[in-house]
Amino acid sequence: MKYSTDSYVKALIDSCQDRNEKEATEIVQKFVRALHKNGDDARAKNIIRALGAESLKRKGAREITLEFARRQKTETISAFKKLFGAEDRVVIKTNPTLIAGVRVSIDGSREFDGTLHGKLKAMFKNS
Amino acid sequence: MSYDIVEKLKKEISNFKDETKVTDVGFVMEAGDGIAKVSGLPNALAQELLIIETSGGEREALAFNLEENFIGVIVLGDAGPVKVGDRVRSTGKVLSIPVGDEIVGRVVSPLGQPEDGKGVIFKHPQDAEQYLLERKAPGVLERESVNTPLQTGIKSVDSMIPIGRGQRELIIGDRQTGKTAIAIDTILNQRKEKGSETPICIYVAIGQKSSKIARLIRILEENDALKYTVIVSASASSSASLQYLAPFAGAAIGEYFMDQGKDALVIYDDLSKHADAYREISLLLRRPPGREAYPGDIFFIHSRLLERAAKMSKEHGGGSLTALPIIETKLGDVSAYVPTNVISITDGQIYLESNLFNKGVRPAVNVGLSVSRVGSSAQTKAMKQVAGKLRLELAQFRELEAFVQFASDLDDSTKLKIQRGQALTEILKQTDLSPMGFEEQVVVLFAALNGYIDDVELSDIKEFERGVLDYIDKKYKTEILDAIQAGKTLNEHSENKLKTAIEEYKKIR
Repeated sequence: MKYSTDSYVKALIDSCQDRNEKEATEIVQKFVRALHKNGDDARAKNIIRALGAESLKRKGAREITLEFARRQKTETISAFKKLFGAEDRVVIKTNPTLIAGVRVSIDGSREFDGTLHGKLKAMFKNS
Repeated sequence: MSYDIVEKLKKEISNFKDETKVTDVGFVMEAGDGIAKVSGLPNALAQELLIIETSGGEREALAFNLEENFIGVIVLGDAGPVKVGDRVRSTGKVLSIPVGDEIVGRVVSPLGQPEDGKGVIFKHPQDAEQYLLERKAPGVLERESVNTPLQTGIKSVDSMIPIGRGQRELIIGDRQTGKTAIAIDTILNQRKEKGSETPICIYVAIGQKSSKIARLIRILEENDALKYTVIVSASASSSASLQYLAPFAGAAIGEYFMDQGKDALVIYDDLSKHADAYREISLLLRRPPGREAYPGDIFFIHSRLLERAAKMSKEHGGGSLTALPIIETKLGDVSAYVPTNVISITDGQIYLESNLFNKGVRPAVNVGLSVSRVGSSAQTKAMKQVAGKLRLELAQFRELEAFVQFASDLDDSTKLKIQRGQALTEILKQTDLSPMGFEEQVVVLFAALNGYIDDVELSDIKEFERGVLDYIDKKYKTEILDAIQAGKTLNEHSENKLKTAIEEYKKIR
């Protein structure tokens, strides 16, 4: 491993800036070859994840994760998405262990837990 | 019992306040080898306790490395269920251990969980006090000079390398030289202490074999010593994180008793394995390695640990915490990195040599290289009176030892010095698990240093020692042994009686 994930992400984003689609595609292909040459193929997943986060950060946008206990209707999801900015990336997940309610995570660092699972845990945390 | 549970649940429900708020959260990015990298938790503090929600239940972790984009955490306990994507919460708390009087006589993990199968330690957890594992050492003004002896019951230590309550005395030597034996004898000897409360002993086993820890527990139980001892166990099969935390847990337990005005003794067995565990954690967390691949703050973790041993002033309770750290050397090299670090921190060292051990000198204390920087302030007056010449006599003997094989060609005074040195070496030998009260040590050393054993064959010295102590115990207990014990001094009357007793015994043996 020669370079950190942050270095790869910064290099790729800066290289692709002010490029047209064709040039950007070529740069990404070269980037993949460079990853392989450096023996960092196994880190591709982490790099892609970090790439997504950095892109959002540069746009001033956030990654919002909404976890519901049950599958939601399209209208409900649209209503939730309207609460956030147009640039924000909203990820919807279903997690039955939450029992009921919704858990909202912002950029993987802040969280609002409105689920029944969270309330029960808080209620009996000293038991 | 079900009624109690129902009532408790009803109370929990009625006291519940639905406060939904935004909290910090993190997610495990990488996990393995007892450590994990966590993203998120932007306000996490160094050494903060975190909770990882795994499929196998909650796991506690310690925030160790605060990097720009992630937190390096060490998982406390079983790290198996921790996997990528697990949610991590902060607690806002620093790691602490529950302590109280009920912990005495128990075997606990560095996190305070019972390990001896005797059930919960605290019937009512709210009665336990939470003592921080990392705590600032007492300041200068809170302390006073070390002035009370901590008797180990070992003749060579109590006479020439005396340890005081509140001192840090290092026990250092190669493997299998009797380091732990000295520590165990010190614990066993505390039950013989009369006139003052028995110090609470804490034995911290770091990276030791489970069989060794089990043997130690059995020895303490058989000698009725477990009732004033706490054992903190982080055996070789424990994770590196628990081995790293074990000495701090031991110090926290000792500080609880010290804060109550009591005396406590903590034995760290051994800090070499502690340094290795810390190195392992640091390397896994990619901290820059220094000399011998140890992290740069290897000195600091031992210095801040050992500084917590102190003798508190009367205004601050008058309690004490004595530390006996143990270091294992390789091939007698005391100039290696970690040994020199700890030697420079402690108030003296007891150096055990393999050569002496193999020659039959046990405990294998190298008196020339051992020192106690507290010195005679930590000795009773009686011991000072009799043992003053001992070091010098042994030093002279060591100079002349090479000439032992030429004994027939030497002058009389040199022959006498050699004979006296050999007799003193013989008298200082002691079997393990047989600590001797200080009054008996005074008697034996008085006889040795005043020429009463010069005419005793080397092979008969041990028998002479047993015999004279037995004789004095039967005929002169009150005038000699009890008088020395009570007054801590060898007054003229007791001295005369002692001379009479030894001469009488020599005639009849």
